[in-house]
Amino acid sequence: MGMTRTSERGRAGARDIAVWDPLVRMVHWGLALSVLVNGALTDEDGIVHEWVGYAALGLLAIRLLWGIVGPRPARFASFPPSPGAALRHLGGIVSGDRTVHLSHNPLGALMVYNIWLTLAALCATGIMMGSLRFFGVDWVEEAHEAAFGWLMISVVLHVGGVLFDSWRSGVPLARTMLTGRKSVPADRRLQ
Amino acid sequence: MKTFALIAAMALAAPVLAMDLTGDTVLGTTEAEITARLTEMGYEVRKIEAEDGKIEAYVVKDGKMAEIYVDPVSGKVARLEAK
Repeated sequence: MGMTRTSERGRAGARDIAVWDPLVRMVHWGLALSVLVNGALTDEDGIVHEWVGYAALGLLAIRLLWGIVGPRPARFASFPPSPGAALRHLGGIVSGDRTVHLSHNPLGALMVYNIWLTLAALCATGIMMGSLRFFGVDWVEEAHEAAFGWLMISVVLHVGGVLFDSWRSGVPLARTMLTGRKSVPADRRLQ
Repeated sequence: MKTFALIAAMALAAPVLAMDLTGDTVLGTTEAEITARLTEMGYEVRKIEAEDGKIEAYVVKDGKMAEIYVDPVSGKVARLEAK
């Protein structure tokens, strides 16, 4: 899984493993940017808000396709949504298991699917609000706002999870989403 | 290019839905009045609420959508956004 090479600049004894291909990273930061732009900057009733929303939907669609045909770590099969696995992973954290997951860890996987579903709901209700049938219909607007609220909670949990897991596992995860490479301490078991 | 400019000018001069609504149109100063007046004019009022010191109505007519902002003091149309 992924290409292994000895890191030359990295920490002594750390393995540098390619996990996130350029498309995964581009989609991640593209979605983060569109959430920031539409959540904080654009006029909610304006055309730019709609364009950014459609761009986000496009990125999401590309990523979902990539989950089927992309490289191994990007595929759904590498991080199936499994509450059971997430609970076991949680138990492992408590008991000090420091196995490193090359794709998303089981808790992270649940967050990934949660954020994708929430984004899909945001896009769907957003498109509905501009359609003749649902224009001015209250519950659609409320669902759009509720989805955004849930997204904000999810983003806080996501960033918290990344910081916590970076501290716990010794793998700087945020940097991994920039460089695509996981720098894993040599003594860690990989999964 | 000239043709394009002309089309653009026409599009700007004649908003799709605004034919019977201008800045001088008095719709009313309360949500109930505005709803009644717009309904009379053939608009389907989907929602009406206070927004940024104006009364905002979401309306549909002839398959076209618009948001109409009414000044609650003068009762006149302050802004119209076709969707």
